[in-house]
Amino acid sequence: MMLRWLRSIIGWTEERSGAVAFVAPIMTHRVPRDAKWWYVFGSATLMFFSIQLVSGVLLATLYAPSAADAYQSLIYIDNQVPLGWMLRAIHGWSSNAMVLMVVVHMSQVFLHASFKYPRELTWMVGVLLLFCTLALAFTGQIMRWDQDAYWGLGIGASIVDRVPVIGNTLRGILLGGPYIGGATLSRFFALHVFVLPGITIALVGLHLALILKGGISEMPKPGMVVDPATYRKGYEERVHRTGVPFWPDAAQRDMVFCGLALIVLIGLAAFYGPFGPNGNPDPSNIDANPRPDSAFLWIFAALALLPPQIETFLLLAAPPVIVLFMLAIPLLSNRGERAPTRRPLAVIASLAVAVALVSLTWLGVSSSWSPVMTAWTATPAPVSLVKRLTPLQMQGALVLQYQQCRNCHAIDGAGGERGPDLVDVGSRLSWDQLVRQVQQGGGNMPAYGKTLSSAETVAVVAFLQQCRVDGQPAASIPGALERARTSDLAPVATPSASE
Amino acid sequence: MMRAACLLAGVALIAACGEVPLNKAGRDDAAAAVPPTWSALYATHCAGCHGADGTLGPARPMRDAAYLATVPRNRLIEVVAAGQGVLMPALAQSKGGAVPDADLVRLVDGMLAEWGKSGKALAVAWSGPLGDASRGATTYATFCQTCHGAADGRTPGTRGSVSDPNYLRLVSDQALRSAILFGRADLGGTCNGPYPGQATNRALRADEVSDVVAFLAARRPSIGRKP
Amino acid sequence: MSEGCAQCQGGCDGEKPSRRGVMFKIGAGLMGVGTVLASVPLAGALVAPGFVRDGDTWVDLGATSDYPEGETRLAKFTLPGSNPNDGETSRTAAWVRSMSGGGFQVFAVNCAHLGCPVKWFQQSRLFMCPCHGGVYYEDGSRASGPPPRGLFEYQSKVENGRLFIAAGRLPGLQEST
Ligand code: HEC
Ligand code: HEC
Repeated sequence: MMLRWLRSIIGWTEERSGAVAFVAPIMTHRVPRDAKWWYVFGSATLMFFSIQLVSGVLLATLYAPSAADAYQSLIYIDNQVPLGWMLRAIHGWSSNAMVLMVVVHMSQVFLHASFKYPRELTWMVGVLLLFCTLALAFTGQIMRWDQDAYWGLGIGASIVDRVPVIGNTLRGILLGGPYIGGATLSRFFALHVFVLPGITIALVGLHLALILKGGISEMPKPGMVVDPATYRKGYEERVHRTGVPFWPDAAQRDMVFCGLALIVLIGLAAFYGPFGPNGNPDPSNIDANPRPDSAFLWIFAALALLPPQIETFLLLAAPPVIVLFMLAIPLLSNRGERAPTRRPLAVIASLAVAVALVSLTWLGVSSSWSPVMTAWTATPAPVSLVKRLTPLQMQGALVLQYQQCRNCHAIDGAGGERGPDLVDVGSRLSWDQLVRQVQQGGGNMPAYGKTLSSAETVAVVAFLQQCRVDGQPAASIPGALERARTSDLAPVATPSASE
Repeated sequence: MMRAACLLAGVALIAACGEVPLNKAGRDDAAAAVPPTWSALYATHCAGCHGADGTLGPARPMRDAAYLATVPRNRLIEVVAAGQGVLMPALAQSKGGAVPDADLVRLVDGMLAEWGKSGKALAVAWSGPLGDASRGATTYATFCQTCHGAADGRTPGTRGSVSDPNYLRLVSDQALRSAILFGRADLGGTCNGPYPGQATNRALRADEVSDVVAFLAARRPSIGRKP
Repeated sequence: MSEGCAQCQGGCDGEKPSRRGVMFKIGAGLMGVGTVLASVPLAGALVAPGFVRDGDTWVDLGATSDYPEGETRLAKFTLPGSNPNDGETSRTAAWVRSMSGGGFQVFAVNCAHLGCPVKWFQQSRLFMCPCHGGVYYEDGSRASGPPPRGLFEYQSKVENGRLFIAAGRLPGLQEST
């Protein structure tokens, strides 16, 4: 009875819409038999994007997109709204998962050279989707409207400001005014919830249509060359002969992977909770220590490491060059071998990029170039060292704290990491070299000559000179007249350098 | 299969209904509202100079019951807020430092309560005017020379010179006085008597303390701190 | 024109092909004009904020006696030109250096590298940036690290014993001295 009802309803709709006739061939289109686990990442990306759409709309029902209220509304969502924190957690974790999956998916496609004829356009749309995803992640971080968001925008604005001639105008357009404020949040809100999702949805549709048109690529086999003249015919024959229907043969693998990924995601979200918000977006609070979200840490690291002379050039030239190059990859090579074993250059290049991204991200996490702002009051010299100091050297250890040297210098691993660890500096630099380094700076160290009194200089150098790992002699310049070296080792300290 | 799914959904629902994520450490904003404890304040603002646990730092120990019992609370607050000598920074926000003034009071009270509990105040006052430098020279030779060497730098002591002009330019008279009165027990340094079995088997008298400080202060070159 | 005829086989109401061509041209022209008319204000609204060139306004940073001579202190103020919609982001800060011997230098808190908030250290007389380690001397000149120049300095003046600076926008490489 029920069944007949159902069938007649379906029949009625089908006769008018043709929906089943439209979808059925798509679902059952034949895909290569060997399209196995390698191919699940694209589906996973799509799944996380769907999660973003759903959780994003739900968040939009709670979030107050105004600079005056946004931060408080997040606190409210976290603490007052039932399951609000979970909503934010899912949206945040799924955003990271989506970025990760896009990258994995893209690496797989690149390594298997699936971008070659006839799938060049699919790749290009994919590249655009990668940047849409990153743009969504960046604008999403802004939605948090906390310290990190504010200063992250500041970094973005400073980069745009470096464009010659029109930089300042572009910055105004980006921020919606001459400063970061309400107009800025509204702009990024519009981008994050209207513009970017709209573009992304359209591009995803195009990406899928192109996949259907070009067919899922086969696993690459060495010796099986892509030749645009013959490829399509050969592919269609092979898929017809040995292929399997997408539904359910290939889809079941997607379902297994996506299901697992989803469960892991919910687990992470439930366990770790939402990201931030980290501190009010109050620009007059200068204790902020801004850090971008994980997807952008590598850029943050690169910004610290670019050589200053060509920094502006690289900052402005690199992004368009990278985008254009990625778009152009299938045009540069759309035929020939697909197997990674026959494309050593491609493999090496991807490895290099992967290593660079991972190590930059790791550097971004530790950000060793940043001074540790509280080290001078918080990080004492090692006790073993303090125990062996003479009173003068002890004052030197204090000078090292008082003058904030420790913000950039560790002693035996504790302290800032911008400059070298000082634990063995006494065996590397002689008395005179230490005095010069302290007073004149250099090697990216500020000069302290104007700040330190002669007594402070003597004390700190006396301290530094005894910073030696057990048994090592003090550094000296062979043949040079050594000034008062012994006096600083013996318990009786005499002034080593006088006024 | 069905049952397992229901069970899972139930678990998920219960977990999700909790007020906070299972891992509470992930919530910074909630924690930020609580003012820091005195020991947290000590760890961020003092430990670097006065030692991680209040001892064995380059500056004199704060975990010193006799010291905390002798020096008045107001004086401690004043030093922490406005600094002392050359190398003790002014830390109060009102003095250009980083610590809100109210936090400093809480910090000092925390130290007094935890580290100053069983302390007995010394008979000799924690501060006082400078004494007579020439009498101080004799007292120095009697009480200090064995450990800190002759003031003219001829005989080395076992614990390093405290009469080195550069050293003296970096420590205040008050710090000298505190060092004599309370020593640096954490470094095995009792600069005050009694030393059993020696001529110095008694504690220094108040006037002797002031004299030694005057003696050392007189050896300090009168060059100011460079601007 | 022959295509136009082919399309209306069977259903043409007898209009002459030439009339249709004219109509098409008029239509295209009208749509064109309309599109331009519509897009000028729309695009204009989008990019207008980039062309705002309001001068900075003088902001009162308090009595000069609030700034001890020889020291550098943080001054907090509300950005002129901001509105309630900006919430906390309308609050801003600047480093005021009261020079020994008189005179003031007022620096933006924003690092000249990428705009992060620099912090003043009274003891070493240095500004340090938490993002990429830029360091500046007390007079704002670059000491070390990636910044391409010294700190941005606000125009300042003293009137009736009060300190004023010209502020109103996020300091950046292209507008400050
Ligand atoms: C940069 C290092 C440094 C830091 C940080 C520091 N101190 Fe000091 N402190 C010193 C030095 C050096 C002296 C001795 C100064 C002098 O009088 O010459 C001192 C002296 C003192 C004295 C007076 C001792 C005496 O001899 O009478 C007190 C009390 C004190 N500090 C407490 C604190 C507290 C509490 C904190 C944390 C809020 C702190 N200090 C942080 C270096 C430091
Ligand atoms: C039994 C040995 C001994 C005697 C006697 C002694 N001291 Fe000390 N004193 C020490 C030790 C140990 C230290 C810790 C110094 C170190 O390791 O740097 C110390 C530290 C000091 C310091 C502080 C050094 C610093 O870190 O700033 C001063 C000042 C000082 N003594 C003065 C005196 C004076 C004055 C006398 C005589 C009244 C005296 N001492 C007697 C052992 C002694």
